[in-house]
Amino acid sequence: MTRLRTLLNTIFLALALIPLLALGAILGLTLYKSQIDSAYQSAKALSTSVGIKAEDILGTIVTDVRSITRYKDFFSADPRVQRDLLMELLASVPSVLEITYAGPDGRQKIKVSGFKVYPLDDPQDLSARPEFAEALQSKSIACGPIETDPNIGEPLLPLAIALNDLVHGEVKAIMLCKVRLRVFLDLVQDYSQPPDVHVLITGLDNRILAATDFSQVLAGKHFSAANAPSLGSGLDGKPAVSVASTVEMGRHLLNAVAVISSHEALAPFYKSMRVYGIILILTLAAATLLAVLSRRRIVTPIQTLTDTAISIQAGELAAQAPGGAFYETKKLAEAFNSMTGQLVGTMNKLKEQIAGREKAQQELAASRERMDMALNAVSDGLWDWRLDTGEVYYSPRWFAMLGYQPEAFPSNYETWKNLIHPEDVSRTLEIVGEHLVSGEPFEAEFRMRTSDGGWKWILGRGQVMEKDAQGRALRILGTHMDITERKHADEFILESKARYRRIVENSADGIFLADLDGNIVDVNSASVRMLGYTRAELLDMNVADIDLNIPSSDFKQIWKISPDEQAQTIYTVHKCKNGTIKDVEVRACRFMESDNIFVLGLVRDVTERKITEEALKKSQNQLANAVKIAQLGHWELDIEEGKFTFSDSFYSIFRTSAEEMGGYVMSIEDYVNRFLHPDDRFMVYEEARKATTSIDLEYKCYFEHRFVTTDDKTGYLAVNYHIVKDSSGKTVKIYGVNQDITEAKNAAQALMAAKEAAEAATRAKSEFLANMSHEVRTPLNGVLGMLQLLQTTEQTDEQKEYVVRAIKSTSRLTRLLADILDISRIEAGKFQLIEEEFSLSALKESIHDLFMIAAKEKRIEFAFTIDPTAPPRLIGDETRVRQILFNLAGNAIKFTEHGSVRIHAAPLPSKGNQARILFTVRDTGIGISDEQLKDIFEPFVQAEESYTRKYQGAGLGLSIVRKLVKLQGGELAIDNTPGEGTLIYLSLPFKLPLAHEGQVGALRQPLLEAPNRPVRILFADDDEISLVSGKKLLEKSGYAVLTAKDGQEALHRLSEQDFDLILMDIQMPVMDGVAAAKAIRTQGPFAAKSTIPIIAMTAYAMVGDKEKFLAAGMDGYISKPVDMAELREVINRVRAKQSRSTS
Amino acid sequence: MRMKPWAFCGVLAFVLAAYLTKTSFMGKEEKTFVIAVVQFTSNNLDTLEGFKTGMTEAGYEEGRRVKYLIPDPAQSRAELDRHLVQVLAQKPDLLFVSPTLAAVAAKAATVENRVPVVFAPVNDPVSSGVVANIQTPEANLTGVRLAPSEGRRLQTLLSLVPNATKVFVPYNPKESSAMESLHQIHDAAMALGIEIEATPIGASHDFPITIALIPAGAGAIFMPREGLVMSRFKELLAVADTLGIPLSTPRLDQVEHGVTTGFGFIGTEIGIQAARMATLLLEGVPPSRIPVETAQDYLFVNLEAAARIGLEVTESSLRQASRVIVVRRTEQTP
Repeated sequence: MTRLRTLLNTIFLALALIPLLALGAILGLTLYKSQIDSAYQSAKALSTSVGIKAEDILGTIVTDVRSITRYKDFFSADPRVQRDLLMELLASVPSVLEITYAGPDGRQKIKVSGFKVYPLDDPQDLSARPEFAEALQSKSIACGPIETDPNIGEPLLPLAIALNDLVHGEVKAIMLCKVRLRVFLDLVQDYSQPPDVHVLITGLDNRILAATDFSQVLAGKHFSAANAPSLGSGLDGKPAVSVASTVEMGRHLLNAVAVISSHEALAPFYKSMRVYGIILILTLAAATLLAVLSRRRIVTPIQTLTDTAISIQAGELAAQAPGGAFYETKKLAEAFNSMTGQLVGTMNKLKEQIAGREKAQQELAASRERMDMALNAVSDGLWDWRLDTGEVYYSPRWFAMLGYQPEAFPSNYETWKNLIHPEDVSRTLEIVGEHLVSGEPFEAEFRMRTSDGGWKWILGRGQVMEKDAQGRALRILGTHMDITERKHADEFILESKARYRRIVENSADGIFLADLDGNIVDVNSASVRMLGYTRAELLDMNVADIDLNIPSSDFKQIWKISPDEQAQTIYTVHKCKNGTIKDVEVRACRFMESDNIFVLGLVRDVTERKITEEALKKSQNQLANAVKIAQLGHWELDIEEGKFTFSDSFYSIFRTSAEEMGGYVMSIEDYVNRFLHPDDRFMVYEEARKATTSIDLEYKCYFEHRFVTTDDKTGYLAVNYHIVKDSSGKTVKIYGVNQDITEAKNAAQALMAAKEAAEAATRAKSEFLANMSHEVRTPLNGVLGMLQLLQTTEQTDEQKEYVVRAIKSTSRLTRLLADILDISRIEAGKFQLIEEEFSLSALKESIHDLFMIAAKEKRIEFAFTIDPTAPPRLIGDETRVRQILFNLAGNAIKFTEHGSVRIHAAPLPSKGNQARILFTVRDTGIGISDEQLKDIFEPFVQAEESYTRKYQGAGLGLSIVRKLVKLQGGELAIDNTPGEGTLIYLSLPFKLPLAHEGQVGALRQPLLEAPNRPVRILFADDDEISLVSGKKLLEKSGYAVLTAKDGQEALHRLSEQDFDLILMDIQMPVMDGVAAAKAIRTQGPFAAKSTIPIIAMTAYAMVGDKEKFLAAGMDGYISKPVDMAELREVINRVRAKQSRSTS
Repeated sequence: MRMKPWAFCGVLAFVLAAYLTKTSFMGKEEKTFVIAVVQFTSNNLDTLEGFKTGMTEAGYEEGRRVKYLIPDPAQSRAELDRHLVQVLAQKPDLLFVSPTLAAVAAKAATVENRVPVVFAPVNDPVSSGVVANIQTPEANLTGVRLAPSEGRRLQTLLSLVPNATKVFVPYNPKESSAMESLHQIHDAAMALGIEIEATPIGASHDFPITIALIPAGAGAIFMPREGLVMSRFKELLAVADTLGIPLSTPRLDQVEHGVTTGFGFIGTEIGIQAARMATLLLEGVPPSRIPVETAQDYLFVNLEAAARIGLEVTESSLRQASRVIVVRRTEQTP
């Protein structure tokens, strides 16, 4: 059935909505069409404007490019000039990236670019390009397909521009321009109003060439305009109105497109629709309001009356019907309400009667309930004993207390008595008996057996309730209370007290209890032991009698205000009975017991600990001082946290403190960035990585790196650390110590620099000496050669003497040179001893022969004797032994004017194949004073030192002797008496040769058969004097000599003639001696003569020179200045060796 | 309490009417974007200036529609990383970085949060690893790169000294930009028929730049497009002046400070170019849809510097130049 309310609502809504909806649809459609048309017209106007502007831009480019023809001589100019002109053009037209100038035949002539360089001669053929062909044909301009430059990734528009002959109109050239599409960017940006209005330039294939979003250009997107007054698809795919206009330069080149989004195009439409919606909603709301008001005034009273009737029908008699605004509804409601009022009055009376009855019943039930609760609340068991009948009433609780069922036992006195513990029966009955006499209520504690066989403590109370006329008790009433738990608690307390007493007594620390006045009220055994007093003595004493730091008044003051049970630790001293003082730690607190305040103290003797602590503190101070002095800083690195923890001393290395750095913890990155030298950071990271990844559980490391202090100074750190791993083997911590080694490092670097400087100086010195030796020996060789030649000529005695003296002078100079070099070598540590077998007698002969003449000249006696027990052959450096003896003997003869010089060699005791020979050199010369003795072994020092010196010499001899003796492991001693001569003891170690080696020396000097013809010698030397003197001397010695001035000439001579031997200087122009020797030994043309003996005759006389030349293929070596006798010996030796090898 | 249906309808109608009124008659509330700027060295402050100008012209006025977070230019990679962490913590809508090293650092710093990044300039974003493809940058970075025009710069240098047959090029062998420049220069040298004498110089500032470094017969000095050599342009300029030969740079400001000639980008221009890309990003276009763009290069000539070494600049060169410095810019003391 249709309800009145629904009918009214429908009528009002229909009347409001139908006209509005119809009107809205008609107006909306009309407005929509109008807006689309308007947007289309706007877009068309916009695209046309943009098209015209685009034509202007292209026109400007074409005009600029064609302006090149204004240079009258452009086409005939030099290509370089043409290139410059085109580059000027390119610079003036930034929208063009490249210009290619090509002839009508399509051949590229010049190409210039804004970012690339093209060669002048690069004849590309452009005729196949469509824009070229089209421009050539149309004699105008043409666009090619869009290209993307691979280098800059930008789309370019190829634009071919024909340059025509102004007179004949023929095409003279084509300029192919690559136009950057960015040129249109400003244009489209000016005309676009994003996000709703966009302007585009597109190609004929609809590719976007310019847009506000240039990425669409670079991405190669296409857009096709709808060209109709309707909504199509916009740039972003959303509805839009779009129009394209053509861009023409004589022909259709590009499109100018305007796109207006539907949002913009239909903005007025949407706005109108919103207004319409608002009106619609408000109308709807108004209609609803009218419907509601109508319903409230008319429908609601009727509805309410209906609802009231339905309620009364359902039993709700109190329901009242409202009157309403109208008369009919008001009267109807009053009649209705009167009927229901009478009905309700009757029902209320009935309800009151029923309520009174229910209340009485509820009170009765409550009374019963309270009584039950009282009975249950009594937890004690009740008993009621009739003495006259012997009957006893036991309540159910009485039985339940002991675990029995009610009425489990007979109701008599025996039941009670039998359940009492046998030990408690007599005492309990005694109490009950006393009660019967006194009549006072009694209490007795006793145990009773429970149902499970156990015992419970019971507190029994009772009192006589009835007596007979004689005053005898007839009835006693009492209770049983279960006090088992209380009894157990009392026992526990007693046991605890005993236990605590034992603990106190057994405590190693002293425990005392004192009142607030400091009077000791209890102590334990440890206190007695600690202080030496008896317990009784202590209980008569005050704390102040023991504690030397706390008077009794202070004691009270301290503990009076101290909170209860808050322990305090006090370090003080206690005086023992025997007078000793002990350091003690007292831990005390105040506590209440029975309203009395006590102080409980735990006293520990810390005398030993204090001594240990002081020792530890001292040790820590010492360690801290050591850390400070050694500039050590320790640190700890937590790997997982990535944090460093430093010490104060660590920070002090970096000239900072924890306060400045904000604490002792710092991240690894902070530490590295603040303190590590940038060049060493990688190295430190590597070390840290090695440490953290090492599987060695005991991994330790030391390394050094540079650091930077907070004041930007650089220093050096030595880092020592070890790692800590967890149970899984993962490195979790690193502990380390850093030491500032800056000063040590700087000192080491300075030392290293000094060492390098010293070594450089030594090298310079060696090089100087080598050069000096060579440069002195060469002219000296000429001098000696000439003197030796002079000796071979006719001379007067006087001349002979001069020559001999001159030769001696050269010999002395040579020796001096050798001495200086020896000193230098020894000092440089480069002196080498050569061990070879030699004959002691041969040594003796050589010394004897050498000095005999000099001794004779000075008319002194000279002798060299050998003990018969001395080994005939020895192994050692014969040359150096000879040099020592030469110096010693030479000195002895030099400083002896009368008497004799005697040398004697004798063996000293030795073991195995070792031999030690003692040489004594005795003279009767001037001797050496003790003052002189200490200096004469120094270089350049002589015993006789004055400007009028009598004895010649550089003073190097004894210095070398001492060094040579030392080098050979020998000893030298001088026994002297000034004015009476000198005795020198020289002992030198040698090895003894094996027996079969005895003949080796004999084999060294084979006798050569006399040749049938003179030995042919090729003598090569660049020093003319040496060459002349050497040649003459050799010829005078019987050799046939041919000379050469350099190695090259020597090779030439050798290729022409045969020779038996070559004397080869080393340092020569054109080709040196070593190169010449190598050529002879290795080159084909000399194959037949490759084994010819070659003797190096050179001024190179340093250590190793001889070996070097022999290794280069030479057979012998003689140093300049050359003594002819020595040279002959070398020649013979080399030739003998040659003959042995050939035979 | 249960709402009566008619009351509910009434409230609903009121809300709808209010909403429609608001959307119809009141404008949209504009959002203020946050742009963080991170720069390595202060060489590109003019780029930032151009960027801000470009943003303002596009409607993103500072203080109204955009707020900038600009820490001081970093002097090291570590400082760059710190600046990036600081600005990214403030959740910017866009990051503007310059030059290459800042772009590389920004790429690493935005791997997680993918904040859009615009760079300008970066010499070669592909070889430096900033993007893998300039047409479609696959990451969250795009921006403006420099044109590969080192060869063209060599050509402009030679147009000043047409008789030069040898050009001295000092370079840092550890710098990828320098190697790319050398590659372009060598190609151009072949086309121009001249000899390139490339000499590596040490990264240390103690590395001596003296006349002894310049090979005999060098007619000009060419500074490749990389930081180390360009940072020592004053020493190279002194050497060039002593020898009376021109010096070439890719930077306008160095020409303004006495270098003879230059060919390269103008900072403010590429800043404006980058701003246009930034507006696209702020409007919601993903970086991968914004291809990397290439900067425009220009010729610069310092006539005073040319006169100092007795060099006569041809009229053609002057016509090609977009900036001709007649008087040297006064040094500014901070």
